[in-house]
Amino acid sequence: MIYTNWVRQCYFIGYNSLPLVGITGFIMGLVLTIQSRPTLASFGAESWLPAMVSVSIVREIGPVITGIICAGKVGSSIGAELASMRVTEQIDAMEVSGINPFNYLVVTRVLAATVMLPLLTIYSDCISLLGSFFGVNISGDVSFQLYLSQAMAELQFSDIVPSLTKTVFFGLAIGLISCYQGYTAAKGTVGVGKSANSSVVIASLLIFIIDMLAVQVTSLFI
Amino acid sequence: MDESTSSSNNTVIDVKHLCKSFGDKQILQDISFQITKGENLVILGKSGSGKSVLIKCIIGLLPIDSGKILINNTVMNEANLSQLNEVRKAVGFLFQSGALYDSLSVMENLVFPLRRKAILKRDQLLAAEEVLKSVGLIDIADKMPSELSGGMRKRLGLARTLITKPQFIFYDEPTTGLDPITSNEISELMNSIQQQFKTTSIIITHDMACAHTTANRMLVLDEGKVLVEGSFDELSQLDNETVKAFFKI
Repeated sequence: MIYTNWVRQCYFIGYNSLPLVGITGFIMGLVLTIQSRPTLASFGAESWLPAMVSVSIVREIGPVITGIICAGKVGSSIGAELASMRVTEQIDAMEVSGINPFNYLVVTRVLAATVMLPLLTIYSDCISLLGSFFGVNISGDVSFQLYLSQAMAELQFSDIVPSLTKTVFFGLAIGLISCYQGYTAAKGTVGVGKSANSSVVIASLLIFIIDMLAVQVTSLFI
Repeated sequence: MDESTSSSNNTVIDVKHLCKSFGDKQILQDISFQITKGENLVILGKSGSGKSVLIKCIIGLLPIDSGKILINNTVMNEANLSQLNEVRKAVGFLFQSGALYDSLSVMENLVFPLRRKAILKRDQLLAAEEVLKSVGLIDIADKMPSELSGGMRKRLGLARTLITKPQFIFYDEPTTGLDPITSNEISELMNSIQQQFKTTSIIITHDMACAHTTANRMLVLDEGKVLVEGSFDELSQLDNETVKAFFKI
């Protein structure tokens, strides 16, 4: 029963976030490329554009933007749903039925968010690079193979692993904060709004704090 | 955790000197009563008199400050989670709001309590159809709770309560928010459930028509204390202002 619900939550958190994460990722890649081009061109380093954009996206922009989007979309949804279940006695009804609501509602959502965030980040990174490819081709003519080889040339294993590792913690933070806010909600419909709001605010803030810590920890090893 | 302290062999629920407070506010003070097997006990009281808190304390949803609650000789306030769940297998709870799972369809709502049991899906569906018929709801299995009327939601809540074939049913304001005709239908349904399934029930209400239809015995709560106890007819003849106020309605 818990496994089935976990799969369902992975679908809601992961699959349902694909359009938003994809569109945002594409625009970020495109905009970053268009904005960076003039500066690099003034130094005669335009050919470094794919490499610079890919490193920026994979190391920082992809994980953080995906985390923030999920904090908004997933965090508010979990916070509001659980809070609404709390104030309408649905969680009590589950408890009376002998079903552990904590395992069924909280554990499944936290695990789903933890697993789905890294996967969404990989997807977002890929779409961002595609957006960047279109950005490069707005005022140039670069084949996809050449763009990809230039973009990947500067990417190291040490860029990818830490950035994906921190997204695991982003997912954990979003799941834990939004579930806590929703599960402990009180004071009727006001409480539902409050839970959704604080889920987003606290999870977003935590994402930046985790990101800062992750950069510090990574810099110790690299 | 098991105790054989019941004063009568037929006593299945025994509440002794129950006290409950929220912060400085005393909600329940020294509540004691017993319920025998197959009995419908109606607990009557004004809004805010602690009726819903009492029923939630009995089932273990809220911790108590002092006293003792026994269901089938299990001390609920000292039981661990697995012991509580064992007792809860025998209990059905109809919440005031229905507490239907919004994200699940009517059929999924009904089979949800059966998921913890090793029952084949086909048997779960058969059981769901059976209880839907018993509460007079058919052809709504695929609907979502939000598409149902107030009366239908109560009936569905009742069906979900019945699907586990409980020995005890706790009703929290079963007729609140319903029109008199639907209220009467729900009250009649509660009576027929008692006769058909031989259940023992606690009915929290301030609806006198519902109390009249369903009560074998009544208990009036006032400011967190038991004011009086007796049959509907006995209470209707009492010369007490609070009790008389209910019968004037």
